[in-house]
Amino acid sequence: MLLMLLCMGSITTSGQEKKTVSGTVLDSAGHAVKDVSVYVRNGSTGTSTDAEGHFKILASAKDVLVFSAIGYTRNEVPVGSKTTITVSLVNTSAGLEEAVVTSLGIKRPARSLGYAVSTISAKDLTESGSTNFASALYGKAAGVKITSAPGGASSAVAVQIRGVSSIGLNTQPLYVVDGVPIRLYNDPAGNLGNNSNNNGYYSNQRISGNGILDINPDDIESLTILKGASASALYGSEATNGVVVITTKKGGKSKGLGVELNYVFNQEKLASSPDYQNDYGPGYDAQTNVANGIADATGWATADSYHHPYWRAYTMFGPKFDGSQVRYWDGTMRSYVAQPNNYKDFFSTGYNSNGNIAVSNSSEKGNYRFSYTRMDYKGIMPGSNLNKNNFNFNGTLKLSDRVSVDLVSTYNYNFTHNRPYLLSQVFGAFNGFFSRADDMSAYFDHYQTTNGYKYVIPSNNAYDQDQKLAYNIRATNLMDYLWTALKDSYDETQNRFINSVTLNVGITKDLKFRGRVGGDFTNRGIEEKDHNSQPAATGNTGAYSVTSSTFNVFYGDALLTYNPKITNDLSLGFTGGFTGRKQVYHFQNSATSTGLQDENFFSLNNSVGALTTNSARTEQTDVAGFGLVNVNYKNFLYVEGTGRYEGTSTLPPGVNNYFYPSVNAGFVFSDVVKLPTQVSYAKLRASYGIVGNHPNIYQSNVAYNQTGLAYNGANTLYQWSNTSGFGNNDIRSEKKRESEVGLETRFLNDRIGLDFSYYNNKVSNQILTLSVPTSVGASTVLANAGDLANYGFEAAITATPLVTRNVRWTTRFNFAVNKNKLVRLPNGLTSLDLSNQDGGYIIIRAKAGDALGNIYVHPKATDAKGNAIIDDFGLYTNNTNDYKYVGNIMPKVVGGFSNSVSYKSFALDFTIDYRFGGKMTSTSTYYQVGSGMYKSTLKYRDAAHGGIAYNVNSDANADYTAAANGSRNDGVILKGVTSTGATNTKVITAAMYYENTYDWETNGLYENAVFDNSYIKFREATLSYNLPGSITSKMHVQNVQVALIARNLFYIYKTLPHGIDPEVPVGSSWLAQGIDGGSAAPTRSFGVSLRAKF
Amino acid sequence: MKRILINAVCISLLAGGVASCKKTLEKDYLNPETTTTGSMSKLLSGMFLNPRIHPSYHDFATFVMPATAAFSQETAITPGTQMYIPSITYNQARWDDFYAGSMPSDLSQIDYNYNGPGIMSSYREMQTSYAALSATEQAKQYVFLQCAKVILYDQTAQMVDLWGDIPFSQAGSLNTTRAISYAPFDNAAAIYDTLILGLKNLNTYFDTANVAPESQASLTKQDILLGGDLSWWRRYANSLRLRLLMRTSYSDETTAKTEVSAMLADPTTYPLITANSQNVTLKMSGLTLKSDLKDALTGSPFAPAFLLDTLMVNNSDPRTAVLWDSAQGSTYKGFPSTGTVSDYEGGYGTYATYDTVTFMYNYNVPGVLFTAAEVSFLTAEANERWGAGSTPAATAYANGIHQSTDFYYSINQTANLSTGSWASTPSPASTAVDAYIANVAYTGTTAQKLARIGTQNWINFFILQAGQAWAEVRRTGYPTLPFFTSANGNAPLPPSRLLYPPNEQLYNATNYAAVSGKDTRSTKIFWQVK
Repeated sequence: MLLMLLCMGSITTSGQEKKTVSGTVLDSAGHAVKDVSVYVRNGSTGTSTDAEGHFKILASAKDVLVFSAIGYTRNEVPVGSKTTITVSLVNTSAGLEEAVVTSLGIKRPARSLGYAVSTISAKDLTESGSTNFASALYGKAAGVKITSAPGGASSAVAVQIRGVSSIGLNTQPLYVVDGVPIRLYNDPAGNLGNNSNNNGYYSNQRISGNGILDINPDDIESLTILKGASASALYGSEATNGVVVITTKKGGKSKGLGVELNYVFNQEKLASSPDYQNDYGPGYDAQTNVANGIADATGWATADSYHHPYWRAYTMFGPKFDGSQVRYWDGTMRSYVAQPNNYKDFFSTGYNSNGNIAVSNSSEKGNYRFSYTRMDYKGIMPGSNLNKNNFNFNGTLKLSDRVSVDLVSTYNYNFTHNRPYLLSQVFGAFNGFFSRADDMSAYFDHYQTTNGYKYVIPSNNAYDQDQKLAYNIRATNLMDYLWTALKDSYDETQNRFINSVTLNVGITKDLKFRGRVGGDFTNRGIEEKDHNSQPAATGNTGAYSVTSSTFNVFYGDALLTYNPKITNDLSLGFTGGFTGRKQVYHFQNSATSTGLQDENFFSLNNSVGALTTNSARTEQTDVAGFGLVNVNYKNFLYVEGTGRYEGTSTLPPGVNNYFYPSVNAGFVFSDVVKLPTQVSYAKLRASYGIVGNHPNIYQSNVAYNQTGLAYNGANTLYQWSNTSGFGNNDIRSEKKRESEVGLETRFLNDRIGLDFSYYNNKVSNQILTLSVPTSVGASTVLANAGDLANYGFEAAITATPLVTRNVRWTTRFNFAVNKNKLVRLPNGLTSLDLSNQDGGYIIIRAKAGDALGNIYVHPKATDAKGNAIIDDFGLYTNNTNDYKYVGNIMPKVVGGFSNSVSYKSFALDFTIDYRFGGKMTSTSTYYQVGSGMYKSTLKYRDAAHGGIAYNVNSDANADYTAAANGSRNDGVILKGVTSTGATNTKVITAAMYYENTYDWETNGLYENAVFDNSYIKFREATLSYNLPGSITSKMHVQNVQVALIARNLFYIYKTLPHGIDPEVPVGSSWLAQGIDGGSAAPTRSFGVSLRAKF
Repeated sequence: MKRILINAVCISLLAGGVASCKKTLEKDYLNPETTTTGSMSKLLSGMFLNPRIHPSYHDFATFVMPATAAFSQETAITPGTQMYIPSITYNQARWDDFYAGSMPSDLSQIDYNYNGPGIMSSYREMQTSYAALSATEQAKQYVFLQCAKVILYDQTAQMVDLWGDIPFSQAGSLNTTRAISYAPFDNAAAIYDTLILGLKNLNTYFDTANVAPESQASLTKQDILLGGDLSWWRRYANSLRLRLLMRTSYSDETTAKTEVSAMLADPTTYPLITANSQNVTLKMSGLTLKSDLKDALTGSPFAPAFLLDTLMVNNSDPRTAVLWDSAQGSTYKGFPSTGTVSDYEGGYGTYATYDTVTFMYNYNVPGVLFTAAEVSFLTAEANERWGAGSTPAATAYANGIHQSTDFYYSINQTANLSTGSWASTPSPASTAVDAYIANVAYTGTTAQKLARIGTQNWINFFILQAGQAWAEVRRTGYPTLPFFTSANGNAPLPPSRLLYPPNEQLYNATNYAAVSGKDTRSTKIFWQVK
């Protein structure tokens, strides 16, 4: 056919000289298609269509023009004598004919796949100016849940595919870039599910990043998500959580030099504040005020001659704001008024500036693309910023007709200053609670003294006595936060190289060899400077440390493919190969100890104590042999079987080998069975596969740790066994068996498409660090503990509801439902406690037969009739011997809704994503309710808000009597019975009600710390305009697009109260995503982008 | 053709790599930074570094000051409804440190304020390592196990004093069998019996042990507590036995009387710690192992009025100068048990605080395990009650006060100041101590005399052995402490014991069920019968 066309071309041409050919490209509905690349086959010229679908190109009569665009079938048209051409492209919706990059970089036509994949286009990843590709995925792929940690561009993004496959290990997918599995975590501990940002209250306060942040979205050509076990089975033990296959952009198909320029500028701001009340200032209930002797029953101070409230109180039950002159804790006289914006004032305005230039070229000898990206970013958290430089080269060299070499090389340089901290010490701890009367600028003014030392509280008699705070304050953690964020310095420098070289050899027509070696090398250096917080003469403070680590992944694979065509109807494919990977990690840290001798002289030579130095090294080896067979019968039935035999060094010798098989089939029955004409395409898929998850490196070792102590001039070595995470030499790999069926159909000339999948999996031998009583010798032990099962549905619907001459509207909707169950626990275990907060007052416990993530709290104590038992103080009591179920943290449905509407040269793209069902625990919110911070806590505080009138017998004893015209109106009588069974009549104050019902442990009713978490979020919107060809041609530019972009705009619907953001929980573990310990604030960004092609 | 050949070579090379990688996989299994060979001597050294043996910020800030020192009134605490409710989280940490120890998430970041090996786990690992040795090696290494046993017994008794019944005989299954076997709670009195009998056997062992020279050399190096001197271990074991017997002397007076009388009657067979030079203390070392109490004591800085005003200042106690700093040059004054939060918060400048040189800024506060003064007071009590031993009670009482005074002065005088250059305090004249002894004269009825002994023993323990102070106050009832009655109806006064920590309740549920009836704050430890 091709040959015939060529012949016809040569016959009908009248000459070789070039002429200008112009034309229009239309889709099957007859509407203009922009951005279609138009080029001369085997030639050097190329262009693309403008917003009206027009193009102009130089070609000779014997040339063949090629028209291609994502989402459309490629078309080729011989020029012949024509000077104007109208071309029609068939819409393929999700690219049926397109090759999808699957496991090990093997390309397969989409129609042949027997399992579900999601493919995301480059446009979806970059158009809204997201700082990384993962957070651009919100709502765009069915069954893929994104969680980006607050803290901005330097913070890790978690991706969860099809529910939870591992309770205790990593739940993040494997990322493969141009065939090389890349590093996700900063150190080998990453496979532990608890890595990166999982609510460490005392440790790991800095919001860390992960490896996907370094993959530049502008360089990504396509991204495929392999969801099920069959799709990812060739990755064996890495594949339990799915695989994300990323292919970077290559040199253009069109010949000749092409230049692309993209620039995005975003402003990032705090999106919302909690619903604070602004009526009452700091102070406790009357009884506590009186007992503490600082304030009287009304909350006004009595101890000194000044008029002021109880500044150190962490609760907001003090005097009502009255505008009177009070002495503030910094000693100034101020009006006693609310500071409604003090939360907002804590945060800064951030920005993101991202520029990218890419140069590409191609010829018969090969092609290349080189791109450079510079990002400057500042988040909303005080004191931190980030710069990135990214260089990417992707080239193909054709050595001969049969041999080609691909070289992909990325160099990434990041500089992060003062990586932001979690805010759990501020919002999850009473010592971080600033009051509604607090002026945020006072904290910014006083966290350090004029001499550069830390703030001086009244009991501090050591230095800068003239700058002593007038009163004790509560929010010392906030002061400390500012000190660390603004005074101290943490500089992180990262150099990362990701390289791969691939040799492709076509040995014969049917036999092909591919060999690949690659590496992902990261070098990180961290320099920390903690300033002296007080004069050296009064105490040893300050610190200096340097850390360097390298993480090196060596990867290699080789595969041989044989594709004999048996008959015209039957073709076979055989592939066999090996893969091996070595991961080597080195870490070294040196630090001063006991402080800096000379103030703020940051050097290891200035340490008060002996320097501490430490190092770590790990080496992990994984090897595998694999093979796959595929059968294609008449292009409508496809069957594939794969197998991987794998060994890993993280499993104990003797049990470190596993076999992971899979089988899948695709049946395009619309080609076989007569279907109604409305159905243009229909395919059934079915697959089954087994994948695994190994323990983390060294995790199962039972060995002694040996450490040394410099004691009296000698180094005393001592040994200890693991105090937590005790090893287990009998550990087995987690094993996931998954079956999946799916249906793909298209209706009405592909105007509507539906992709539906059902999957069912069982993950056995869960590797857990099992909590045990320390009386067995450690607090946790590594164990294979139980089986987990998931089943779920995913559906993606695409449609083009509206197409007219000027308007085109396409829409994509997806949803995913996942049900999860802990099937079995071993050896008589009845339950696993996965999280334990506030001394067991709120736990996440998994019982055999239940879904993972069930939340339990101590129930309110009740009598036989269910009446609440009220204690002698008039308060609710807990039944601490019992637990009650109050919900589950996992969402029931997640999904998204994306739309593209174009009108002439304008286009509007927006994405909405949603989550329904599931709860979130938030102790920080609970404490703040107990502290009277929110509007909701105005209830009971006066008669208008439902408070009962009462007379005071004694504030010291909290003895009150209800009386119709009582002296105060903030009384509460809790409904319930006393210990004798009588109806409770004891009056308590509103303050006592909140302080005790939301108390830390003791009387606290933790069911109030559990909230429904459903939302619909308007995630991103882009309004773009393509400059008309008449202007761009004058500018000698092919295409210019300007756009207004916005991310994280607003919630259309949410169930969380008190203004809490549904996305506050941080952490990459599935568990941490349901637990808020007071993380960081939500952001919203607006910006502009400019994209130009030369 | 040539290319095919090259490719074939490539593939076979890779295949060869796979064949040889079995070895690589096995080699890479173990962390090169750890060892699977347990060393008896190194495990013993680890036990001394248990975070509850030496004075550390974490232990003092979270446990000693708010719990044991507060409940024995060695410190003044902020009045409030929660003042007598110790944090269950910190109780858990205290419990865990005994059984498992505490390791930083990154082993390279050991902070001795928080981290250190467990007592029970290390002892069990020693048993495991010992069992794996040849008979010859076992004979050589036996001495390490015996020294470890003394530490285990001392710390176990302290656990019983806090909680009562605890998992003991079957605890630590991970360290022995590498498998989980939940340990039952052994009866507290039975544990004491085991310890008392075991210490008697240890006395015999340390008396007769014939240690191989290479073991002795290793012990001398690794025993950072007593330098490998078995005669010191012997005195420690006997003194500990004396303490435990006296602790049970009201619950099982017959046994205590017989055994203590036998010990005191025969000091050659049962040598005790009779001089400060024989005190068992873990000494600090420069800036590496250091007592870091400043921030902990700043959190609970004030002297209690009963101790300072009523007992020390009134009687011109010579220890006053080294235990306390007067408030900015004014007179020594303690925080009254009736004080308010406001008084407490504004207390600097009014109330005496822990001494700057001896405690606050001193990196050299030793980990106190046993002092001669305690032996003297226990001897005095035994002599007073039963006529045991040849030293008259009054003499032992006076000896104890002299020893206690010298001990606290020596801490002051050997201080290693973290900052500043405060001078140490010269020792008082012996006459000053005698004058004090006259003020707290050993006179009156037996009950009054026992109260004198109990009071002095309590003063001597101070915050450095607050756990012992609390135990002895509960056992003897001396001194009678004036506690503020909290408005909290559930916890108006200090508890009689600590509640079992939550993880033990949750994860050792079956065994816990057997003792849950005793798990109240008012259940008395078996030896508290007065």
